[in-house]
Amino acid sequence: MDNIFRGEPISKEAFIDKLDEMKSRIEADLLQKPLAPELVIDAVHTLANEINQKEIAEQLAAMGIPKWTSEEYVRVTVESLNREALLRKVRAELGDNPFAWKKVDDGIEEREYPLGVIVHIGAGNTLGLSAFSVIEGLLTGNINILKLPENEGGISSKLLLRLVEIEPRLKPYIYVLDVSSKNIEVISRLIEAANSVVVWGSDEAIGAIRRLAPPSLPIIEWGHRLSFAYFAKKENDKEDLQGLAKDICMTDQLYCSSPQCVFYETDNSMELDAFAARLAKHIEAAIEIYPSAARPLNVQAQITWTHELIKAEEILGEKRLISDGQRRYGVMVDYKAELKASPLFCNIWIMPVKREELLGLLRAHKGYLQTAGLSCNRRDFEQLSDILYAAGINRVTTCGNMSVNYPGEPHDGTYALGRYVRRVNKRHIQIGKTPD
Amino acid sequence: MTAREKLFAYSNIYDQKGSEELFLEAMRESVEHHRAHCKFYDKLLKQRGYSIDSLKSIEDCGKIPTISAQFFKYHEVLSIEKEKVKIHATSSGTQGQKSQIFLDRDTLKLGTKMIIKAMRYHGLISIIPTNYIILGYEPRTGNDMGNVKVALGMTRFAPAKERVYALRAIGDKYEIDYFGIMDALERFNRQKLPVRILGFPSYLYMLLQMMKESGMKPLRLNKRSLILTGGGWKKFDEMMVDKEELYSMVEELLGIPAKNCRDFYSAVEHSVAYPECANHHMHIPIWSRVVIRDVKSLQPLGFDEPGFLSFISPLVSSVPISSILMGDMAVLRDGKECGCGIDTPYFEILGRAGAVKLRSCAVAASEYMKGDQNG
Repeated sequence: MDNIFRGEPISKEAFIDKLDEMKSRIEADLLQKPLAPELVIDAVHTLANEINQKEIAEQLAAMGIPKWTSEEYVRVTVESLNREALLRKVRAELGDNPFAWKKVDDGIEEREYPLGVIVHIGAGNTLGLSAFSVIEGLLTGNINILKLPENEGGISSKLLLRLVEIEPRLKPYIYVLDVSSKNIEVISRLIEAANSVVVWGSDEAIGAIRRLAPPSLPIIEWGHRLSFAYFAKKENDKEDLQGLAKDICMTDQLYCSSPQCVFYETDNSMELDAFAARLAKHIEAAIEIYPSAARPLNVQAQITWTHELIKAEEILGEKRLISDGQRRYGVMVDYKAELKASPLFCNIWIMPVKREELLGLLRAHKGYLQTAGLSCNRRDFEQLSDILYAAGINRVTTCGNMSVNYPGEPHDGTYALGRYVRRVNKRHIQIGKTPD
Repeated sequence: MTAREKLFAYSNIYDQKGSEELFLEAMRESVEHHRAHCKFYDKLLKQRGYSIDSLKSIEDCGKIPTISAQFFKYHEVLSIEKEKVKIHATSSGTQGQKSQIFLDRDTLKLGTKMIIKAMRYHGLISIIPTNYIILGYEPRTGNDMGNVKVALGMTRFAPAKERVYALRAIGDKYEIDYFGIMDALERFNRQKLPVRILGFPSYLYMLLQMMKESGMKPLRLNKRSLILTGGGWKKFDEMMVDKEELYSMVEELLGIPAKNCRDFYSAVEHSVAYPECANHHMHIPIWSRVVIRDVKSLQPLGFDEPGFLSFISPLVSSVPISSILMGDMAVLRDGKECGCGIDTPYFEILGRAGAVKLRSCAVAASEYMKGDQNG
């Protein structure tokens, strides 16, 4: 059973029947003393330590994600859920002593306060992400209603049910409903209860919620993003190429932070070709260490389809393909620069760029930018990263670390927890009143 | 008379064996014509080390270098002088880059012959006055979508008493006029003349749903009525139902027998039409060969193995599409199993290549930035 009503497992139909009851329950629960982050952290820490990493990694692998990516993903996720990491996250994102009154001026105080009720619209592309989103909602003391993504496989519900078993005091704060995105009637009822909606996923999902939500309802959007590498001339870029090849092969480019394109700073197509050939060599080496997961028919078809277009355009001198006979990888040279997605699975676009054109090139896609893997001389690093930040990039990393995260790292340029609280204040001394 | 002309004059349109020599000769003519008149094609053959001397048997047709259909979305590559283009048709894609084809007088002439023969073979030509419902766009100037022209052409196979269009131009937009069609259907029902409904299967399905939901009384249209669909489900893929379900709804709500429901496969970039037989299979006529290609190596596969749909045909002389790789995934079936009397192989479309649901956030972001490339 994938549905949870106020911390208790329930069938989908029964949940939908109880939507009116949910409203009155929530109204009563909102008057309770807000949750303390420590209570949530202790429970999540216990949960993280008993997670069977192997089992979840295997589930991910079954979904077509390479084994080492799955293992690494689970390891990092579990690590980010332990007590120290969560304490660091809360402190970094909400400051010291969150939720305690802080003096601002004589007789004036401020504190963080939960938004109230958060509806989370989950996305299907990352396993367990929905549970993580709810945990962030709990850390900030909110009541959470999760609409599960399709094809989620029950993992978020399983984790959240275990969490309330560990800490029953969390029960009033957790609701989960496995309802289709097309069921607008039920989703509208959920949204009616919300102080804010958190949407993960595609523009389509975000657009649908924007249309559904009344203007008074704030929407917190975590949309899909694109990442790329940028190579400026450097005395020795071998290590960076090696790192980039690892970024490409190890994740099969499935993450928002995985590189889809490489921009190489040149206006000379021969230099570009030579660069592409060098990268191809490094990818060939990396692929031996991190071979791609077995590709479903459709995925392979998409890759071949892209390769075949490039091969035809090669005759017109517009593009060029470097690959092996088995299409295990593709270094796809496009002499015209444009930020775009590759067909993934070790297929990467290589494009020439002039530094002075970089900002305009990226700004055309400003809402979609995430990570840039940067390779350049030390003296250029500052200037180039300034251009990247100005264009809308949020993460600049060295090559080989594009998909490596640290605990408490901002998400798409903001601290998530800060968005899940508001700041309330009080003035408790009468001023301006003449004393008797 | 060229072998190509002879092939299109050949009488039995499913006699692949009897016309095999003619087809091979026509293919050699086609490849040679494009090589001689299209620089791009000449370079392609050289790059792949291909010569028509190696085209000796039907199996060799699979080795003719194939070009992916999307290439022609972005590039205007012709094997004739630009002035000789009679028709520039585009696909009905609503998003992204549209498919397009340029046709010359020769191709149009042969194409017209082809479609008349196919319609006659399947008994779809009639002299009884007929009312038409066109589930597509109303013709208007400035609209060069292939299916508008096709739909209009399809109303010539039985004399038209009245034509009613589902997508009506309102200002510079099109709107679906379901109620107009339902009214027309009731009127046609009373008139008792045969009715032909032409257009996208998705719109037919939506119309039938609408009739059902509005509680409209099932109609008993003239038994000689026909449903001729084509163009696929496009952006309505999500609501797609299988043919059996669609045709049984037609029987129930319109009173038209399932054997009178015929779907056509056609693609702007290929131009050979594949009407369904009475058992709803798209058999391959003498004018083309279908090869299903391995998704990795592009090597031809046998019956019942899924892969890329690829067409080989000498029909088009204006654009070098002697062999074209479609973005559809399909399987080829042995025609002898069909039982309709036609024994050539038939193909079934499985879906679009790469229609993988949001595997990665980056791909999703890119798709939304640019619109659907396959649209």
